[in-house]
Amino acid sequence: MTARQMKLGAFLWATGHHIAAWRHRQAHATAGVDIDHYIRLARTAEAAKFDMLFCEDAAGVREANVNIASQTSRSIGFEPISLLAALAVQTSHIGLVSTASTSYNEPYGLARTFLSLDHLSGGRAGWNLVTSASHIEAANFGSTGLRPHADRYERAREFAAVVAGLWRGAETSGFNHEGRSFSVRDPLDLPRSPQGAPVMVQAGASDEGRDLAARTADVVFTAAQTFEEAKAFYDDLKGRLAAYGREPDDIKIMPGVAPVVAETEAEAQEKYEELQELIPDDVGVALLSSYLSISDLWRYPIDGPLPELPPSEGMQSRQALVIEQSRRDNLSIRQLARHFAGARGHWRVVGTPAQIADELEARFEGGAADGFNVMPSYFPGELDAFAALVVPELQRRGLFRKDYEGTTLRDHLGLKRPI
Amino acid sequence: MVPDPREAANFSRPEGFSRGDFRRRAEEFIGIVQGLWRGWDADALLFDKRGGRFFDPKKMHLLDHKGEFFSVRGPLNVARSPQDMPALVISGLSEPNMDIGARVADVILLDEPSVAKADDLKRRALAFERSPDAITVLMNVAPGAEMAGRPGVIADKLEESFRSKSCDGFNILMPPVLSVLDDFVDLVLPELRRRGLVRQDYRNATLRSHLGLAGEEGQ
Repeated sequence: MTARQMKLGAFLWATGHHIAAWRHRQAHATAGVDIDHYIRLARTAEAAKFDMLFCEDAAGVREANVNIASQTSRSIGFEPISLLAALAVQTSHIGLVSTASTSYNEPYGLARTFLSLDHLSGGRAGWNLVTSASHIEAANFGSTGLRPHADRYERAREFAAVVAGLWRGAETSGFNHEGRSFSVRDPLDLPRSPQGAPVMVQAGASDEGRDLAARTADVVFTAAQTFEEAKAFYDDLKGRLAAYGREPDDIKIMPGVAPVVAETEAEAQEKYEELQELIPDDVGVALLSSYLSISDLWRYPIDGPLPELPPSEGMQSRQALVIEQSRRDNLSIRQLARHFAGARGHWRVVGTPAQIADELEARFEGGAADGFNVMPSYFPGELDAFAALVVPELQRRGLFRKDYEGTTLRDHLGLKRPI
Repeated sequence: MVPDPREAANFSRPEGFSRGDFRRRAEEFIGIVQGLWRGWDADALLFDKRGGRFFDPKKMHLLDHKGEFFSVRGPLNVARSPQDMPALVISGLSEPNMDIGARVADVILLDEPSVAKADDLKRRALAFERSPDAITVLMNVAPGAEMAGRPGVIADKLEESFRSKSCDGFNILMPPVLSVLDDFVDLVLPELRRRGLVRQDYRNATLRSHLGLAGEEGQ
């Protein structure tokens, strides 16, 4: 029997995960209008035997301040499900996972879209379920504003159950769901998925998010800075599975990692600092403001400390994380802004291939992760570097596959076929 | 543009829509979609790495739509279309919906050859200050199995409809049988080309260019 190996996702986003990625001299700034660029990334990731391409999404331009938005590349890109459909025919093995919202779709339509992607890719599709926490997206879908957290999750639970039922019942006649938020009469007009059902991915870290994941998810994507945080999340989520009659291995937990890799440590550090220098101060401060859920951070001296803040109504855990780090490391607003702008609060590792492999191995073997969603700082360079330098090191250590075990995404992830 | 109660029942609307609601909703919906497609100017993206400006803020436009059925702030997070805007195709137009088609559609599909209907659509387009050429009227045609034996007869029928100005072209309804498509491509199309009725080659790479619709240069 082969030893347990880690799962790897290639998280594609705009010109890269670093907020200033697009300004890097080697970044492909026109990514958002260039399908050939994405075909190249998909082939690189597939040649390196990544489990999946992972695309996030929002139904709207994310940044309300147009001056800030215009200094980043994130306001423009391909809608990810149509992008993945194009990439499906240019690849043969790699999984294709897209984010889609339960708040701004209907389950019948979304179940059909993903099952269709699953068929046209030969069983490689996955859905990353989000409930959408942004006011900007809400403003594109009616005048009532963002629904409260609990309402969004109630809708999401029903949504996920209907989608799973439609995927399971693709060959039955009559479906007839009537619930609080949705009613659906017919089965889908497609046969059963080649992999049993598309893979269900989730990312919510709140108590309700974790419960929904324990009930329905095959893969969980999460943000964890330290080993302790990652381990605590891992143990908590795996511990919730028994209540739903599931086994610990039925869910793969894949935290995000934002690597900056080079042959030597000095080169890696230099590469990281070059990116950090490209962050405009107002962009960094705006991003930090959004993590802190306050709007007037720009009023304070940028080289001074973070002011005392009232408790957040929004993302409380993220605010606490930022404040704690600012006090612990005695960081100025500018330093803090750059620190968080780089990896959006995800775990960043800067170093040589061996150092990065050490870090990943420690979390993988230490029971804090089943794999990682790799978030390259800019494209294509940093995905190329990870594929060329880190993947072979992981393979040499027996931690990552040298070839695909099968043809479907469930095969790669070692997931059971749903009955 | 035809309400189907079966579809509505799969989208949490077992009661469906009333005819009036359905029409007003469709009209509002189309207006929003076309408005969102215009949200970014064609030259909005600067990609100016040195200056740190990815797009020109003056060339991004909020929609700020608030209507009877929808409220949409916009803009889209997708760049302006390479063909200016995707083509809008409408079929199943009943008499009360003719004005909507004439006002917003790029392509209208008809089931029956009708010079009067095609004329009527173009007249209505003029009334909305659109050029009659802004709408391409295509007729749905099923070529049938007799095609292989009589490609000239099929070509005659198509030519007659086209020359009588009952349509600008055809939407060939292909059954899921590869040989029917092959017969049409190998037998009927060469005959239509010989008569100068169908292009020899694409002029450009966009759908608007093929259909001769305005906007293909991205203006």
